[in-house]
Amino acid sequence: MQNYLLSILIFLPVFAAFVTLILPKNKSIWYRYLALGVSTIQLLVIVMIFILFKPSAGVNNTDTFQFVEKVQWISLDLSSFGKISAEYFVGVDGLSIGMVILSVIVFFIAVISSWKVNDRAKGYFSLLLILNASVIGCFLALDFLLFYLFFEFMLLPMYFLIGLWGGPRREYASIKFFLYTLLGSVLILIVMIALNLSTINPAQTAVEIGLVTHTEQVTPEVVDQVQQLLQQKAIDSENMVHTFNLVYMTDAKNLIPESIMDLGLTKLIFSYPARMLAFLLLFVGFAIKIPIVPLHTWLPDAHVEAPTAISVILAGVLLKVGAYGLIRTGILIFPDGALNYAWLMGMLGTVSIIYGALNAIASKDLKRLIAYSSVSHMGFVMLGIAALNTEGVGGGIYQMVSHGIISSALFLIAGVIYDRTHNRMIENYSGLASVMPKYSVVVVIFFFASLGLPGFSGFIAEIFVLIGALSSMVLPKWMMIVATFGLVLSAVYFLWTIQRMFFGKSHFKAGIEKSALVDITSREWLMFVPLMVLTVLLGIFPNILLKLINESVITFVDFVNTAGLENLKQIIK
Amino acid sequence: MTENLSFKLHSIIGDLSYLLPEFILVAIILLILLADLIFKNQPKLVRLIAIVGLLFELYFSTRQYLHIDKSMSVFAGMVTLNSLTAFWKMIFSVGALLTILMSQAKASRWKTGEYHMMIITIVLGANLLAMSSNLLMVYISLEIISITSYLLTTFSFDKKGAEAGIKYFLFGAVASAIMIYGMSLLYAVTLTLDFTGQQFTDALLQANPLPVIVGSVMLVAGFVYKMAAAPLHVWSPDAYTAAPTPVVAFFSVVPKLAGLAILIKVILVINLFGLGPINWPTIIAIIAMITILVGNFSALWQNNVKRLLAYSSIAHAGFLLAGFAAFSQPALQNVLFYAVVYLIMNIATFMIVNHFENSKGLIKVEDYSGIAVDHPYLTVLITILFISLTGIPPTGGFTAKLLIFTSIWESYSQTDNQWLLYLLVFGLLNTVISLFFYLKIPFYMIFRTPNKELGSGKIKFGMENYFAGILVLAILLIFFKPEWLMGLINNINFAF
Repeated sequence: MQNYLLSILIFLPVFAAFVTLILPKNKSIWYRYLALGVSTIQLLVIVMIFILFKPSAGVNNTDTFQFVEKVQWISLDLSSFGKISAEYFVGVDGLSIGMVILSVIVFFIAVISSWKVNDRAKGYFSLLLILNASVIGCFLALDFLLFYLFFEFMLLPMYFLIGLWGGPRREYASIKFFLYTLLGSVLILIVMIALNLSTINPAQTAVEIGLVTHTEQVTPEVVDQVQQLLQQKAIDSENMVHTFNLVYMTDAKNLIPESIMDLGLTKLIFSYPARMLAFLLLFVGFAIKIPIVPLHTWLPDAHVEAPTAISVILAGVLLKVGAYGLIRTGILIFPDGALNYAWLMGMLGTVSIIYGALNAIASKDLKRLIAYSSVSHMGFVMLGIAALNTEGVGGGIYQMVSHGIISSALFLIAGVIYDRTHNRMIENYSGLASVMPKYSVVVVIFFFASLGLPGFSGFIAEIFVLIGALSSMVLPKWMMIVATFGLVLSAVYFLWTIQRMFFGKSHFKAGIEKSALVDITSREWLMFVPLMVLTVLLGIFPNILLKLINESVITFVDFVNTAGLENLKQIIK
Repeated sequence: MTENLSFKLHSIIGDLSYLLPEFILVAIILLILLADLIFKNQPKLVRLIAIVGLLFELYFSTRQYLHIDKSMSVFAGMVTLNSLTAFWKMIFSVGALLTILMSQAKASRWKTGEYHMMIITIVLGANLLAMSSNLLMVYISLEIISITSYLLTTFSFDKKGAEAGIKYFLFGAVASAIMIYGMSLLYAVTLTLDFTGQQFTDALLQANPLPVIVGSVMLVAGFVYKMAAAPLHVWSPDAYTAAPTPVVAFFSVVPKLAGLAILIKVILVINLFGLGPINWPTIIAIIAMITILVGNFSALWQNNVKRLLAYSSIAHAGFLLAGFAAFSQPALQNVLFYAVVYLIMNIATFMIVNHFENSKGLIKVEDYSGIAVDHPYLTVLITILFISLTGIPPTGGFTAKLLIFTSIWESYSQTDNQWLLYLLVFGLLNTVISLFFYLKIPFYMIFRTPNKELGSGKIKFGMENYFAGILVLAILLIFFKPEWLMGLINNINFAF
């Protein structure tokens, strides 16, 4: 049982999606109970994982990943070119555990939030379940092809969920979302192919050249021997097993000499070193997903048109897939590129913080405002990761979890008001506090959490990021100063919104009936209370999360800095 | 002289058994004609003969694929038989079988006998084309395909069909003329028509480059025309729009792949191991890029489903050529992989389109509005197919594209040919563009409200839809277990 926990997380929703498709139409109430049941089981599984998880590194060492499952998936023989191998390889380490926990929680909230969906419920819930599987699969995959499969596959359910259950301009928003993110994935695909061409799987290659008879007999000595043979060009290309394994890809000794990604012989493509270009491609590909200014324009449209539950998922976990992908593939495989372009990542992160905040100030639609605040807060993630030190990266991951919780709640807040009046324009409301007092309390709590008030998770995350940016070896100091200014701006738009919508004399425009403004229902409390508890808990006891991720972050930073410098020396030489 | 002749005769009679699949095809053609003459209006009988005959032919082609391990030159060097050509023949017969299975609804209204006879004649031509190792043989088999294709284009028996047929014929005749002129130039230089022989290669290496360049470009132009690759693709959208849908499905697969098979075979020879006057990898890369570009960008503006699919098949011809541009044995393996996946997904798409066209008269993209309400399963099937045609996981289309691009990257890293890099980037970016028009049909089916005149009302779930379902399963299976298909391709001996 314990060995299959991760597979249960991934395949349970897939199975439930098929069951949903088979269930007869008149049993439509079952769909949501099925989805809720799946999310509940996932919660139980994730609690089990949380308890059993021992802080250990992972990152670039296969042995220290936990709950690992590894099965051979694809093994193609391409004659003189060698073999291509892909594995069903999943596992968690400190970098991914936070994301997995977050996704399970957010999907649980999203199912409750979708409780009132009656329009084509069968399609809705089966797509939601498939989305669930592919997002969690993305965080667990340790094989690039598997990662890419989940990464691309989540576009389809998302496209239909926005396009079919969205707002008035849903068709435009959904196709824009799809095309944008597909463009990003194509850039990632280019690098994925190049990496596959350049990297071998030392264990399987050992079997192929006859050092051992079975992959289970492979010891570290055998791996060393294979790597030495490879660097001496003593392995025929027919016997090379090209791999998609993300952990093997981090080890420069597995690179085939004179291949595209090789360090020694630096290939120039358009007069750039190939590895630098590959890192940039990965960066742009994932930056679209995060999203980083100027590649963010799909996000406000998608958010504004998406139904509430989908916005929650989009902001809560989908954006994190981008940042996580950048850490897991971009920075770990190309530490040299990460060091070289840290300034670019930091700069774009800072620009996102300020630009997103300014746009949020100018937004008239509550949901658009929250969407731009997401852009701004994901900028902190980018800045933290770009700092490439323990505080920065730890803060970035902390911010990912924190933002996942807070932004889910913010989109639920926008959903509450939209459900009642079908109108989200800020200017149409004033003095809501006297009509919906409980709602106003929730809004104030989460707005304060989001603008980084001490005692909430956002504060811890942003402080870590700013400390990281200040003490970073690779980022100039002005970035931290500018980013701090972003905190002030986020206070501006949140406080101003509270003042405009909730305080003052109660007065509503655009034919909004006061009677429609019912206060929060018990179902809605069920969504807000866990999120509230989580954000406060993470704000007061940051160790809950930090103890899980610390070891991996330290290893990650250490690896990126040492391997990155070493690689850079070789490339420049 | 007489002794020589009798020796030749003996060897020809001895070689007869190697052409067993082709003889079966000839026999079916005659049987169908006779059956149609004797038992008039017996479409079922004709179909039965065609299907059983093709199954036999497939069986014997498979035997050749399994048992022939080296290249054999038979019929006095006119054709060569090896496991590669046998594999092509298997692809052709599967394509023809699926086409016949999908023509059920229409065939009863047509001249059934002629229709099936011509489909099988094209398979015969395609088989001979893939095997031929003599320029004259190439010409003859190409003409067998062409002339029958002209006739099949007009098979909807209306004005548009006749117009498209004439257009196709005129273009085709010019292309043939150009090709045979190219052949004559090459003959003048090499004094032999056997292009697989040593004499041909040696003579080309020593010859004056100008006639070699002109001759080989003209020769290749004929194949490019047959493949409907740019810039010689202009005939295909018109022909595809006017021809009956099963015929279009057939055209977009069998003659196209036959053209590709012979193009690969000839170019590998006239490339002269890279020593010739023309840099073929670059030329092929450029043709592939133009083809992908023309196919995708023209498809963006199409309203007619068949015309859209016609342009899509042009774009796919581009991807097939792109894989070949890498010029290596793994690249050829990947092209074959792509060809099989393309055959499956394209024919399955046409099956469903044909079903909707026959039962509901849906022709334009708008006609598909709201179909999802009444036909959820067909909608799911067609969505998976279009996802596969775009090349998004988890479908075989993705694996095929992944392999094609892998071989281009690999070839680029070994040869440093900049064009291959452009081709790689360009091809991948075009995937994004193609998504836009491939999603158009599922978009109308799912997102738009039903069109009261055309779309509403359920229709019978036809037999061909089950076949389409099986093909879709195959597409998904190829993604999850590509080694099953690649294993078949690995059995091929690529030594020419």
